Amino acid sequence: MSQAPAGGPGKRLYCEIDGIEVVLDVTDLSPAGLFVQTTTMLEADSEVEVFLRTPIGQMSVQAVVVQTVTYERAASEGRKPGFGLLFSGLTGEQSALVARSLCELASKPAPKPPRKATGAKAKAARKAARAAAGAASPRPRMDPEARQTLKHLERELDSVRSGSPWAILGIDSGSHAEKAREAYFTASKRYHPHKYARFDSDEITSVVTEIFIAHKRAYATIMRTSVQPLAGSEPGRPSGLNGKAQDRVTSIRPRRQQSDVVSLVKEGMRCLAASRFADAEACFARALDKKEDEQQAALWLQLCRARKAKAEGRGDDAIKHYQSALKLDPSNKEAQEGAAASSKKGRLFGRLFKAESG
Amino acid sequence: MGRMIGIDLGTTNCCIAVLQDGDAQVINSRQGERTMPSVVAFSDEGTEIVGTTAQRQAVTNPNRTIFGVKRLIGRKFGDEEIETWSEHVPYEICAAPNGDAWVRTRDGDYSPQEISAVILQEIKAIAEDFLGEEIGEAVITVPAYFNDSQRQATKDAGTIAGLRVKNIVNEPTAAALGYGIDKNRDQTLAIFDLGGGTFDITILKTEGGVFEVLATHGDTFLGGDDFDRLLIEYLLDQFEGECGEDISDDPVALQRLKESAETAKRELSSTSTTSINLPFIATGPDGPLHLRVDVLERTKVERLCEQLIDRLEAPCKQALADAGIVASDLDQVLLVGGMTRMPAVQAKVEEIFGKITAKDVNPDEIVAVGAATQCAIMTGEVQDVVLLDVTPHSLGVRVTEGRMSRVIEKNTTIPTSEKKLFATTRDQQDHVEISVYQGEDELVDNNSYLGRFVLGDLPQAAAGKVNVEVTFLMDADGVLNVKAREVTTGREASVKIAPSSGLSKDEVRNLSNRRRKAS
Repeated sequence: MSQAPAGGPGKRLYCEIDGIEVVLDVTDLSPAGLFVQTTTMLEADSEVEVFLRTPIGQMSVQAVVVQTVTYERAASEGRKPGFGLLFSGLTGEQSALVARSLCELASKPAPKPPRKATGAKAKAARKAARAAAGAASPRPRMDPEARQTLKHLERELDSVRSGSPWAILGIDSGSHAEKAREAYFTASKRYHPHKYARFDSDEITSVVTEIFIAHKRAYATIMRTSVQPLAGSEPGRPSGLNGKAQDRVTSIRPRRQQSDVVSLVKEGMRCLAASRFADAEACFARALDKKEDEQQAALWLQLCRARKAKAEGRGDDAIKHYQSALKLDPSNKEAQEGAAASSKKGRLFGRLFKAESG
Repeated sequence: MGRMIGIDLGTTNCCIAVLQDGDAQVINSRQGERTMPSVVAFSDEGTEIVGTTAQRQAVTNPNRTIFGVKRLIGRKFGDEEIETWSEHVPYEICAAPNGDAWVRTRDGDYSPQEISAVILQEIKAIAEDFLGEEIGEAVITVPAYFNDSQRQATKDAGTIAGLRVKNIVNEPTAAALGYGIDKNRDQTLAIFDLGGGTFDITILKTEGGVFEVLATHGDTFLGGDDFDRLLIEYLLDQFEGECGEDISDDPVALQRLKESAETAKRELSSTSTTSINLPFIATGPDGPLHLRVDVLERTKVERLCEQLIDRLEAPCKQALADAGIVASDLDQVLLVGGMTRMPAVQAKVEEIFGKITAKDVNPDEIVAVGAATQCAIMTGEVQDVVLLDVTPHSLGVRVTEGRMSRVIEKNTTIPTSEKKLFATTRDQQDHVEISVYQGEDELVDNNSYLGRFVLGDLPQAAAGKVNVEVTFLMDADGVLNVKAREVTTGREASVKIAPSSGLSKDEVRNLSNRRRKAS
């Protein structure tokens, strides 16, 4: 995200982050990610679904929260408060869209489309890659039915490559979880790779696998941002999600409907940012009393006490509170740093582990 | 090509089914039985004997009668479980040059894949005789908790036998498919599968034709054979106490004892006492010795096996937790595998789930019926049904301090694709090595290694400034592709994690050709 921003300030971009509408300044977009100006932080390292609308197109992409500039830090460093999002898994077409949008917004002539840019080229590249893969063992000629099926599936794949999760599942935006589940199951019956096993074609399998995954991901995103309980399941806990998605459900707060607790926690965070520790502590304690989303409130209460202790020079107490916070959320970066009482450690993006060299 | 059949390739018994006119039909063995013992023997004349016939001659040919080969498949000779197992079988288990557990007979060494292939070839022949047409393809079931190499080894066994294995299905999932296919009701099922050698527990939801696995757990080394083993040990001790003779080194005696123990165990499922009578089992200083237990009580056997039965509980609890449900959310508990006939096992199931189990299930056949159903889904004969299975183990890469950073969590629906970002650890680091592991432990050393590759030519930058995005793509058959991409330059490297069964592609092909010529 160190890339020089394109376009002048003033131009606006619209995007949804996990279903929340956000207005961006053009300078906040780069080929690698976004910077969202806000005082409400997302947890570092959490994964979000970004739906971006630019003047020339729209796309849906996963992103990771990589950097948070708190209100206090922003004030002291003369920056904008907010958090950075790093796109993960941009397809060639999507990065081309971002690049072209940046040019468009900067009113510069668009650059030549980079490799794999257009749909046609991507298709050609895919074909070439397949040809290369199949070169070792000559592939039997496809029968007309298989060829027709592949053609149809490739069109289908193009249509699920972009668009909001709701659009991918073909349901109204904001539909209930149950509706999404139904749509996901219908898609599963249609696009599960086993349904195409009889064609015995690697090409068909790979295309249909991608289509299936797009539906599955769209469904998981909707379930993650939705708070309606499904009939017959535990309240507030969507059933049928795999383990990973469930983790997300509990680690990311639903942001669609703000409960009292959420507003209290937010208010507390604002107080904390302004170093009004007593007020902040009161907010978090009240939030904790509400008996929902206790984890979050408890975590912030510990962080608040730790910061207060730190500000008052009670280092040992601060470490103690950081350790309690760490128990509540082992991936919390501030708690990690505080508990280790070392400023060097973990400066990188929170839980993004460092890959080891060989 | 030709017809596709569903095969339940069990540790102790196999079952074959095929879908005919929309109904799954079990194909009888040559002896007219619904299942066939998974036993292969090599005779003095150098011929292979399979199934019931092989089992019958086991007493006279214990060293060359191979049973329970599924316990060896895809495993290393050094594995603790293999050591325990080898102490209790009359045949010899040896280490192959690559460290795999193989079988040694007078006629030579055999990989477990080859032994399994002998069984599968017989199955193929039986099905061809029954249907009167060639069988080219199959769906084979394996325990849900089988890892990659065990699955691949099973696939290779099929290839050696001349079958194209179109899909490897998890046994409990197949059971659910066999059970739920003709039921229009949506329900949440627990499938409790305790077979001859393995234990699986799967939580699955059916909804409008979609069979969605929510979670699966198990123990690949807990099954009926272990119950037999404890009973045999008890009988050996009794005999030694009474007659002062240790007969545990006598393969013929051991084989006779094994058969009687198995029979006694089975009888005790329906009666409360039984007896064991093995005359002339050994020769003592004063002449022949006989092993006689006039009254063997069910409660005695239950006490002996208490610890085994207790081991069933933890995986069940874990599976429920992973599925995010509680026992009372379940509509049915399906019992699969012969061992679930044991009353103490049933009592344990009811204690864990607080449920009476479904009675309309044939625990020996339901898995094969499900496999046949999966065949029909894959050929397109059955349209409105799909099976959404999960990966039973987490997958990840090695990071600093030998830790495992998970990319795909266990119980994720497959096919799936997941991405994760990693950063360099040193200044000017020019390459990263991506080592892929499977398992739940925090440390990679306690998980199983799948493969590795290197992404080089990284841009020069300070530690942590270079980001590498790692993508895991697991297809519907559980085959994993791993790709790494440096974020700014877009440089990529990737590897297809070809699960190794211990046999190379050429070896499998050669064995397959040899078998085809021989038959």
